[in-house]
Amino acid sequence: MAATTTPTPAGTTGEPPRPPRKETPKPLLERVPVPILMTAALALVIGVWQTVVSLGWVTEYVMPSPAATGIALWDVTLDLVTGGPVWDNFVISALQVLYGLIIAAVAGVVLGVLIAETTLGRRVLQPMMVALYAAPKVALAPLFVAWFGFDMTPKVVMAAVIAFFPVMVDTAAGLASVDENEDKLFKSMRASRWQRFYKLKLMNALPFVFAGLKSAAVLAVIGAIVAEFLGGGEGLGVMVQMASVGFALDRLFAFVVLLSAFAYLLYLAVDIVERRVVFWRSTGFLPSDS
Amino acid sequence: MLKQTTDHTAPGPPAPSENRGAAVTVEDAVRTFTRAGETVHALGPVSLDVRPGEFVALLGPSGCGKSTLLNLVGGLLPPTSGSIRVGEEEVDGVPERVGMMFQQAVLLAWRTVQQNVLLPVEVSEGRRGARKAADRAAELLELVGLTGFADKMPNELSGGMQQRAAICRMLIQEPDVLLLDEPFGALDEFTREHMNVELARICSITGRTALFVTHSISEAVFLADRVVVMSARPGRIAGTLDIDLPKPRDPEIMTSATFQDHVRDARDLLRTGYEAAATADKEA
Repeated sequence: MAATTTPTPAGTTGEPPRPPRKETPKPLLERVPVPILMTAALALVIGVWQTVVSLGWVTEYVMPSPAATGIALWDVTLDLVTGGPVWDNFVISALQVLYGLIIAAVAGVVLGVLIAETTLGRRVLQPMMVALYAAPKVALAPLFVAWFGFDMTPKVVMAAVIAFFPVMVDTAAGLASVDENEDKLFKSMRASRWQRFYKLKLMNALPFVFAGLKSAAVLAVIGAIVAEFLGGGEGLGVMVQMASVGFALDRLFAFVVLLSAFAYLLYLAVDIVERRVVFWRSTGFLPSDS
Repeated sequence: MLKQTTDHTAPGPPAPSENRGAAVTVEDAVRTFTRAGETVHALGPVSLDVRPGEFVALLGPSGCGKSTLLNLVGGLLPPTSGSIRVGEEEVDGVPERVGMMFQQAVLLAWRTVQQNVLLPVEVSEGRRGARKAADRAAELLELVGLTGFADKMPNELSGGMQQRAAICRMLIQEPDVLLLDEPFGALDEFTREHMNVELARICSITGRTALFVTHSISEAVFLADRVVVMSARPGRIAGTLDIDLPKPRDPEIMTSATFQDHVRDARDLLRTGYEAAATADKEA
């Protein structure tokens, strides 16, 4: 990206005056900073939204106005930071997500290693996991409720079940993606299988594992909330449902914004840990562009 | 091996006269590969004797099996038939006294230069062994002109510097035989020439046996005591040239008449080998 434009200042001496090279101006979207673009896009969406509601094209029953949503968001946030019921429910949801994510991380890495490194894992576990991956796991929520009751357990289980797949798949893929030359080097050093695993393959797989963990962070939130929908008890998912039943759609929107922010922060947290652990490189959003 | 390492903690490189190489003997080695049910005859039968301390270049076109031969000697591949010995020992798996270098430096991105250099020690003797060998690593880094880069990460180094670090890693356990698979093939020509001079210097200082795979004629003549020219399909030895140029050699020598004669001889051998392979292809 650098080095494409040669920096020839106008006053360079000794050269015959040439017509200044026409610099093709960058397109507008390239020049404007991303935060300004984002704000503009958001303003546009909110503007259209407000117009649609103000003109009465949709009733406020179905679609609360941005203003109403904003007020609801303010109320909900205030409740959250002052330790009201929203805070209590948030803590429960957040803990469920965190526990689920931790279980998903451990189980995902362990199963990923088994699939990539053992014959039993590759020939027995892998097909089973593919079948399970294809299953609509959300549909299992009532089952988990039946098994684990109405407290936090079924939600933690749901979060873990949904979140662990990308960790497992990416771990296995990362272990399988070992560089041929590096593998040859380790063989030439007469490294044992175990040394090849933990000094080479595992290190190589780390960026993939983190890519999986980032997906898992977001999926864990979805898992916990869905389980709360179906399992009841406490949590933000329950509050979302109550808002929905009470036709308080502005409040529902506010909760969705809150949950999105939470999932985003969790994603960022994993990203920060990744930058520290995998200090020699970092992955983008998807493992494929690493 | 272990004892040798501890004996050698004296500062400075070993005395030049010291001849610590081992002989390499290849007897009727054949290697075939099976791909998608089809058997490909990659190499042989090939027989080759390398004297202790000798620098032998394996020269040939791509696909002539020279890398395969090197992998056989390095124990990375078993021969389909025939036998290979390093020193007195029959090669079965990677021999202990062999150091290898590849076209890419293959430095691990998450390790500093020093940690990369010490990797073979860490693998064979553990972390404590590696810590003890730190002085030795520093000496080697000095030998290749990388003093001050020990704590850098590989991606902070240029391609040539990475290969220098790879040289150190190859030498850290004081192998008797060096197996070099186009070690500077990925570098630009200028850096490559410079690295060849370095390598020649290091080999003459340490007196080790070296097998050097290349497809550059002048590189082979410049470095080797003996050039073994190979031909393709299946890989065979087309001929051998003794290079009677004095050592150490300066790049200037490349302009000398003797050097040019050797290059011409090598080229003739390559051509006859190539034509033989072509007629064999036609008949097949």
